[in-house]
Amino acid sequence: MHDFSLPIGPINPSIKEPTCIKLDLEGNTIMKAYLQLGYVHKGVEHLLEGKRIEQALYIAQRICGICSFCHSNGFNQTIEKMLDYEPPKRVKYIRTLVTELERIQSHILWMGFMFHEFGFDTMFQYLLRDREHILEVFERVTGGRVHHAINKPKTVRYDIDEKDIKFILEKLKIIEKQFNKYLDIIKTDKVTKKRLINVGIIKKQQAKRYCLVGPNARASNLNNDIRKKHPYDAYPYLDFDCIMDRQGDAYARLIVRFMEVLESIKIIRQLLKGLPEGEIPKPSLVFIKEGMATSQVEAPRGENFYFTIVKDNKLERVKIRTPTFAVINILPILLENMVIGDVPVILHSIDPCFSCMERVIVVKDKKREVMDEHAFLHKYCDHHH
Amino acid sequence: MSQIKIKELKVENFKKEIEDRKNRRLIAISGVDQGNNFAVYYHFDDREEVENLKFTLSKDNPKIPTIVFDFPSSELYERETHDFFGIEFEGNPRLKEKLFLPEDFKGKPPLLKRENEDA
Repeated sequence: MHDFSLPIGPINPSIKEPTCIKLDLEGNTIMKAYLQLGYVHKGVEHLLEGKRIEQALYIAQRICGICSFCHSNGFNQTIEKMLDYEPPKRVKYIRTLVTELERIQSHILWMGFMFHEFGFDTMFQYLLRDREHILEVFERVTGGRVHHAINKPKTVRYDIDEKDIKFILEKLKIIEKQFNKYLDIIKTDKVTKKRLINVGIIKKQQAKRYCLVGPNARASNLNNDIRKKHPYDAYPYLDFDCIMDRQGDAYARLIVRFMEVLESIKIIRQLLKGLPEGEIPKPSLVFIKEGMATSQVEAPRGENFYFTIVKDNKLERVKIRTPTFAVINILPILLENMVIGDVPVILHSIDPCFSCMERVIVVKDKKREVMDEHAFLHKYCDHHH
Repeated sequence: MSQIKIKELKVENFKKEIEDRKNRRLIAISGVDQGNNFAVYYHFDDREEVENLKFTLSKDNPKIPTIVFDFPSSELYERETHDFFGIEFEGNPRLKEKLFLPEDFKGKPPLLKRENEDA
């Protein structure tokens, strides 16, 4: 039984990407929540079919604007597995460096918006200011602030030198100093605690049943960290901890991601200190007659899974399971029995990335019923032209 | 050449195979159009590599039981595969609701191979 239904989204200032949550309400309390997805389809899986490997890499790294490198890395790994090729250690270190920088960047962005959700906008501004340092590092190391097109099959595009290392270390120092300051704020601020503690609790048993991944699982004391479970790139050579928490609420998820930034800084320092000497192989074309491979990489939001089938040097099928797709199904359950005011906080606390998740739709279909741009203009804008 | 570990299994043994893996982590479900038939891959996390279970379904009547009650996260994976390949996951309560495609979408599932049609 419910009094009325309230749709939130697809366009709503409290949701950063288009999605729709329909809520059955009784007074202010949510009785049941339904998710409606599909507002940011880009058709990537369909687009990848029939492409050559080099072409596909360009598409793969543009799937997401926040974890761009993790997508290209996941795809690349499947290709390298099919070729039975292991890249030189220096390439592995550079890939890991970009992965960790991306994690810092993504977590800072997430934290900024998390504070923004409950009106702590000062913190939001501080965090985005700090994120700029990482973007500057990206610009210098990979050439791109958003899409780090540094990966190539078998190699990376750019090497790093002593000056780059010095630059990165300086920037990390700034971020570390700021973050130690913020830790006090997070641990003592009353509003932050009131809004986040005991909100959207995921128990460990539930996290396991729902096969959660990434920081969301780790905040519920379930370790599904691919960096430890199936170490890839340079992770086998590194010494780092998986940040865990027992509470499983939104506050735990904040703390986990916060501490992960500091842990990533630690990892990057190790990487730069132990960066192996050597040349980076020149990019070359790869040929695969037939092959099939899977790969798992730990993106900022959790495990990113790729399943690639290649036939005659063309992609037959690519299946991408992004971390959000594994996590989002628990959202309606988290929202039950909460109040409307908690919706933005809970939704944001699991760090959904809808652009990553929703990729497939018909691009070309002769008998299509879907409204295209032309039909839309004809119906709604014709009298203006 | 490929190092992937695939277990080709019969649909008749489906329930038993899933029951054996109840405590494992389901990573994803992928549908593949193989021309004459469909393949449905169930990817499970394993200690070493990903374990891939492959079930082959005929194109006339592609049906496989749902695993929604053992793995709640599979609801979305099954609905996605149903949307894009038209594979029936028997028992999934929300299978007919479109996940990523528009509500009023009609026509063939979009990820089917359509070489003959385009020619």
